[in-house]
Amino acid sequence: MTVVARGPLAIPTLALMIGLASCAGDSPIEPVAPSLEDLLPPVTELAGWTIADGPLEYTPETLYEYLNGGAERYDTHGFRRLVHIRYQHDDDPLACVTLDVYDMGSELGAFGIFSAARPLGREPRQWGAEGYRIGTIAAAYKGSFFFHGEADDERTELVEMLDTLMLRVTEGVEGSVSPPSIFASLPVDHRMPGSERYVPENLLGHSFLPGGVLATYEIDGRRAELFLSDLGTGQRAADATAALRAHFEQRGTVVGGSPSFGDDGFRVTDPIFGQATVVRSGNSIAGIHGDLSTEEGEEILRRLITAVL
Amino acid sequence: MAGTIDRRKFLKLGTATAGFALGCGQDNPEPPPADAPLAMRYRPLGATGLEVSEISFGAHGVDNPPLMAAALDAGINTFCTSGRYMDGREEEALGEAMARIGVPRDQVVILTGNPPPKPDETVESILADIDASLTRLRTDSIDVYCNAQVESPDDVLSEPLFEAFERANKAGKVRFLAIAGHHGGMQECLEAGIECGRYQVFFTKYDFVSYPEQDEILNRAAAQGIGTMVFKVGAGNRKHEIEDLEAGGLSFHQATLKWALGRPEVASVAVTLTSFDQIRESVAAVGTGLVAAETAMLRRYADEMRHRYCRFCTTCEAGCPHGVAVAEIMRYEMYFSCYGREKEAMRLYTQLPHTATGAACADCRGPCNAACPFGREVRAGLLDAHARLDLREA
Repeated sequence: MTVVARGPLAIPTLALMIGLASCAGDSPIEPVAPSLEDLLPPVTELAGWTIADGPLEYTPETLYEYLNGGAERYDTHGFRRLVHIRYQHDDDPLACVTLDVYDMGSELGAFGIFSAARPLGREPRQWGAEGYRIGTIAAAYKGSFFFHGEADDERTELVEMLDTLMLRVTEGVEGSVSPPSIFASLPVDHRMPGSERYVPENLLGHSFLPGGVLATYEIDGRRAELFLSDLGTGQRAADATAALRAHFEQRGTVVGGSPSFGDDGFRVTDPIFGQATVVRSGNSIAGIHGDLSTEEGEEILRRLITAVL
Repeated sequence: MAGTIDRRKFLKLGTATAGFALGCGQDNPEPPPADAPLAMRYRPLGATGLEVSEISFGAHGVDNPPLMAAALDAGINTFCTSGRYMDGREEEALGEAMARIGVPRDQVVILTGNPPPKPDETVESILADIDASLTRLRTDSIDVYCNAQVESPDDVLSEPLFEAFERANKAGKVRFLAIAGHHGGMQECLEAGIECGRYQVFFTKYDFVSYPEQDEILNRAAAQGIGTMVFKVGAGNRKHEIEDLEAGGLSFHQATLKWALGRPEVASVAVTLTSFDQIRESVAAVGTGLVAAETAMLRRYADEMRHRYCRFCTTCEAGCPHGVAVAEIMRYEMYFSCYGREKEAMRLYTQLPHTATGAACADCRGPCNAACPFGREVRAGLLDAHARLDLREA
């Protein structure tokens, strides 16, 4: 078995990138934070528009009043504050554009909630680090902020204002316009654009796995999902790898053989999970599962292990 | 009924009835072993003819097909989502997962919906929303369509929604109509739902601390054939604020599920499930009933939490002779005390008219105390908040 060489800074950096964001929901709220209202485009600069509602602020305690059951997902991504405002066109209360600015506490938290909501059929926009609009709905993220806008209907003046608001609000925030740095480590070949996601807890549905990142790869129409989670220590990673193997021994089939890289590797076949390979390397556990062949999947996984660890 | 508790007494009699509540639990304080076999049970959802699993799968986690498959294996047949969650992405994920698993459509019950129609919303736009949900869910029929996030009877009594539902129902696209929500005015919404006779299902927040009058409403709903599903049974889920609440291996989560399922009007409890462990923990609560230690745990939680936080329901404000903005003040106090946003809380408090602040409470006899449906010492809370937040007198 080949043990992948790794640089001395690589693992702490990875742990920092994933681990800190994983803890975002538990960290204390910073007492001195910029007012979210200051990020909103002033209505005085929007000729023909007034404020119909807001700005209203929501906290982790009250977010459910606005998002109903959808609030839980925001909580797990480290949500801290939301400011909501509705801009109204002329005197028509039925011609409004809603803008919501979420402080998610970290770049990965903002990216995570943005990526979880990417709908099929979206049209990319140059807003923040990544943005899109689909019909009357728009979303973007930049830095630790997630932005969401919605026009009341598809009237041109409303949708144009939606575009304007999204552009201005994202320009008014400091932050990188590149994806979170962890994604630069994922293999590029065959990776589906916009498939990258961050999950803050229970990666793959396992409580023994903390937050992690995912991306989808496609070859000839067949797809597989790559995952990576940093457990913080080699022992925890080994324990999680063993727990994951035990899970598959109960629910799937652990087949023979193991990949030629990483530690504690094993292969699985499962009617829903698909063909899977899982390895541990350093403090991390990584794997790939889906419809790709074992060889195709393991080549992608090998590149990940080489790049990250 | 042996092994159950009377919720109204549990709520209202306080410490004096501790013996009663404890006495109603089973003798064995030990929860079932972790590897005990799971056995789901099913209940009729009112008069709909639907049989729903006692535990329903909440919106999140459905983007993980193996997790959904595990839920199905555990007997969960009911899945709750919304066309608004993540701009419809949750519905897409549920549709993708069902397709990947290959679960027969008639073996699952799907709830989804949208917020109440806006004033200008047309029947056609509501029908378009329903069609969009069907597309995302990859199905041709929604079992229960929710008028979700209702806040007032006006939201409930939407003629465009009723007409859209009738047309979609005749087209076979939706089977039953539900009210869904959890705002302070939910009781009025449920009353309106019973009164109008247009709804077959209620999907509402329900817990062992809040809204004791809700039992009586749900009783009348059941008599009318309305089925009830519930969520947010954890009463705020502030268990971490109470030391050793789960001592002895107890699970607060399981106890709240058992408590809710102890009500015959409740057909199912919706739970957010994002891990295999949560599926096991939740399903293991089915069919076991509260044991004495769990009852005591819930009582302790209720006793310690009931007076601790304001629900911002504004009920007490109606009787305030000074027009004090109770809910706003308590919200600012929460910013100060719970979120470390001291400066902002004080800034917001300063923006209130002085007459609407806790300054007016100093010489008041406090009719708000009696008005609070949750038994909070409202006046004392306002005075504390005023001392903490006020800059004008500092």
